[in-house]
Amino acid sequence: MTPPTRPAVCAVVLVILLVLTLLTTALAYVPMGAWNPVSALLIAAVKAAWIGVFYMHLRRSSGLVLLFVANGVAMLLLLVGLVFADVAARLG
Amino acid sequence: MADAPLAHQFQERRQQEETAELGTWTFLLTEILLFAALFAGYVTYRTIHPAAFEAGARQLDVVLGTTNTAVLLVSSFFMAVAVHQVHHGRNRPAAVALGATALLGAIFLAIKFHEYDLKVQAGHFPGPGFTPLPDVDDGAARIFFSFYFVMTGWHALHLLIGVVAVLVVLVRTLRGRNGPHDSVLPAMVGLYWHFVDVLWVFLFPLLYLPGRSA
Repeated sequence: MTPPTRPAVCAVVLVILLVLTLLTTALAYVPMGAWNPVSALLIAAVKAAWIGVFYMHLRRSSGLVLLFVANGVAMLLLLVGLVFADVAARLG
Repeated sequence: MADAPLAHQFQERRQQEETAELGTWTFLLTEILLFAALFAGYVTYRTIHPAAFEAGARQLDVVLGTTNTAVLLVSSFFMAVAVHQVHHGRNRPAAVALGATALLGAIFLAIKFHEYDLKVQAGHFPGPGFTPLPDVDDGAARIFFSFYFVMTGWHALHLLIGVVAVLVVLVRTLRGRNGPHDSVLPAMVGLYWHFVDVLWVFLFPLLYLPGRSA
């Protein structure tokens, strides 16, 4: 199995994740127009990346696993992205 | 302690373990697509009714939501530590970490059901007793709360299954059935747990944070 991440590293990642969480909530109260949902989703993606790389051991996974994960993320972005683009275009 | 048996279709242990990892990720990707459909629906209706979705989001308790996000992140920390401890044969610390993971998962669910109770009391469950929100389209507000209950409900169901799985791994670890000789099950359950955490990492900003800067 992919060698698990050391607890000390896990702790550092946790602190980063908690800071990003507080940042997301705080930014929600700052009027930024369209950047509010965009910044929230970008921070969420960064948090997901930290969890994936360090807690889910992606940084030590085989290329095949990384390919599967990358494909899954790509399909997700394709589905949600194109649905959004379609709806937004119909409204505009 | 004898190593876990090598299944006949594998030539070596490393191959068996990598297959378990790949298989677990494949399962997680199917779950991601399940939620992707819900996300696509949410994105659709939020794009069409932005005001109603922002008004609906403001009805949710951002303190409870942020707290729950932190609860799951800490639980993921303990889960990651537990997998490390099992891998290195430290079964007692692993059991403690697994217990902390399950406990935090249960705390999340308790807070979530408390929130559901608050929503029902406030008349925000999209049913006959729904209290309309001021100045927004009533149908759209109902749709927001439908997404809220369905998306967090499916997430809570996944989390509940995760808590049960963690408890199973906890018992197995205490009995010595998991350890350096066989740490595949804890690792797989760990991947599932982190996936449920990542789901919430996206659900929280989409459901709780819109409209806060108004």
